[in-house]
Amino acid sequence: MIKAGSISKGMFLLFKNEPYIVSEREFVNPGKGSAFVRVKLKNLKTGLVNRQVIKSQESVEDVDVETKEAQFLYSDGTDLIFMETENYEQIHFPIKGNEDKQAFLREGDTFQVVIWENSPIDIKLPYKMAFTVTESENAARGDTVTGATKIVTIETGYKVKVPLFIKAGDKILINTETGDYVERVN
Amino acid sequence: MEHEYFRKRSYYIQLIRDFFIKKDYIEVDTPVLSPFVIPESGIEVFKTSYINPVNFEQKELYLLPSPEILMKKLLASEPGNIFQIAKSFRNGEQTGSLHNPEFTMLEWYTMDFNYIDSISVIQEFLRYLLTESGRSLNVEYGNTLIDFKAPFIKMTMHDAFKDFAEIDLNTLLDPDSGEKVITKILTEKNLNFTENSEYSTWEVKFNTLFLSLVEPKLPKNRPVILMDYPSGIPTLAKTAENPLYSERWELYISGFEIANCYTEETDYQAVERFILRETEQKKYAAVPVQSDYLFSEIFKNNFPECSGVALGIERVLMILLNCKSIRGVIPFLFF
Repeated sequence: MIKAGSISKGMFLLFKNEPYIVSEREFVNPGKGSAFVRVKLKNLKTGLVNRQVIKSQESVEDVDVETKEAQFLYSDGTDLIFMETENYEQIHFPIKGNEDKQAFLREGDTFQVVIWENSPIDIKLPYKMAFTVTESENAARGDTVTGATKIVTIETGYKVKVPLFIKAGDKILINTETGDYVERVN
Repeated sequence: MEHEYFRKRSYYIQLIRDFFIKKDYIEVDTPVLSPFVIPESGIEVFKTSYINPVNFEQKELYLLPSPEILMKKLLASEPGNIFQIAKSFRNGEQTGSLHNPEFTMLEWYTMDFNYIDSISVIQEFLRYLLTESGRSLNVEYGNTLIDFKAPFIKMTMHDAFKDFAEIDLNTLLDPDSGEKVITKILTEKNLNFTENSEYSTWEVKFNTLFLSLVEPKLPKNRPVILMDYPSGIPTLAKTAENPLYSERWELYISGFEIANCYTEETDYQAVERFILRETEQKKYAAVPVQSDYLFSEIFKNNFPECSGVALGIERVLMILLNCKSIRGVIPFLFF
C-alpha cells in the first residue's frame, strides 16, 4: 500500500482487483479544501480508461510487478511478439489498447517489458527515441505560431510533424510520451 | 531564457502595482515570519524558531501561508483599501505543474465591497495587465484562445453541478441526508476509489465529486467566476442569505484556480467559531501550529465591512507567458 499523494505516472495500481497503469497524475487543492490527486488510469486488461480523484492521504494498493528485458521481433496483427533476452522465451503482448506504443517499436530493439501475474502488462519506452525518416512529403501550410511544418514518416510507419528542413534519411528524436518531434540528431 | 523571464516578471509585477496605486490602494508590507497563523486544516505551514542570543531561549515562528492574518490586523486598526505582493509558503504540498511550496501571492482588500463587487475589480485588473502591455484581450494559452474581453462567466456552484453533472447541489448539502446522497452518487459513478476510509468526511466526498464531475467541465475559453460555495466548507467568508452557501468565489482560467474572494466575515463570534473548529482539526496536522486565539478579538470593535481577494501571481504569469507548468515561471526549482 502507498499513499495516494505518492502516486506517479507509469505506476501500477490495483483498483477493485483490476490492474491499472497511471497514465496521468495531477495534484489539486480545491478552494480551501484538502489535497487531492487526480489520476487517469488505464485498465491493463481491457484498455479502458478510468478517472479517479483520491485524497492524498488515502492508501491505495500498488501492484508488485516484474520487469524483463526483451527484444521486439515482429507484429502478427493481433500481438506484438517479443523475445526475452535472458532465456529466449517469447512474450506475446496484445496490440489492442497499446497502439500508441506500437508506433515506436522497431524490430530488433530491446525494451523493458513489465510482467504481472505471468502476463505482460506494459512496455517501457525510453522517454526519447531516435528514428530514421523514411518518407518526407511536401511542406504543409505553416501556422503562424510554430512556424512552417510538414509531415514525415519514420521507419516504424509512424507519421510526425517536423520542421521543413528535415528530409528523408535524417535521424530525428521523438518524445515517446507525446509523440512529438524533438530535434534532429546529427 | 531566464534573463528574459526575469524581465517579463518584473514588468508584470510593476503593472500589478500600477493598477492598484492608480486606484488609491495603499501597498502594505507585512512580515513573512509570524508567531501566529490562522489555523486552516487544509494548509500545512513551515515552522522555524528565533533564538534569543542572551538566554538561548527559542521562540517558534511560522512562514506565513498568506498575508491574510496581518493584513486583517492592519485593517482593524486602520481601515482603507490595501494590497500586498507577498511571498507565501505552503508546507506538505505536492509539487506539480500548479504548485510550488514557495509562491507569490497578491492579496487586496476593498472597503464596503462584497464578493460580487470584487468581480468587476479582478476583471478590470486582468484586462489592465493585457492592454497596458499592448496585448490582445484574446490570450493564447496552450491550444485554447481565452477571451478576456467578454464579461467573465459567472456561475454559481449550484448551477455548475446542475449543468455539468445533473445534480441538485442542495440535496448534497442537507445536514441529515447530504453525505448519504454523495456516497450513493460516488458509488454509482464508480468514483469510490477508496471507500469507508477514515478520511471520508463530508468535505472530502463533496470535493471528490466536484473534482470528478464538475471542475473538469468548467469552460476554458473564458475566465470563470465560480461562486457561492457550500458553507459546509469552513472559511472566513460570510454566510449567504441561504445559509447553505458562503459569499465567496474562485476564479478559474483554463480550468485551474487563479484567485479566491470572500465577503469577509466580520462577526466576532463567527470568526471565533472558525478558529476553534479549525484548531481542533489542526491536531491532525503534520506541523502543529499555535493558533492565534486573539485573532478574533480584532473583530470585536467594528471591523470594516470589506471584500478580500487572494491571487497566485505565478499562475497568472503562466497564463500571460503561455507556460504549461509553474516550473516555467519559477526559474529556481524547489528540488
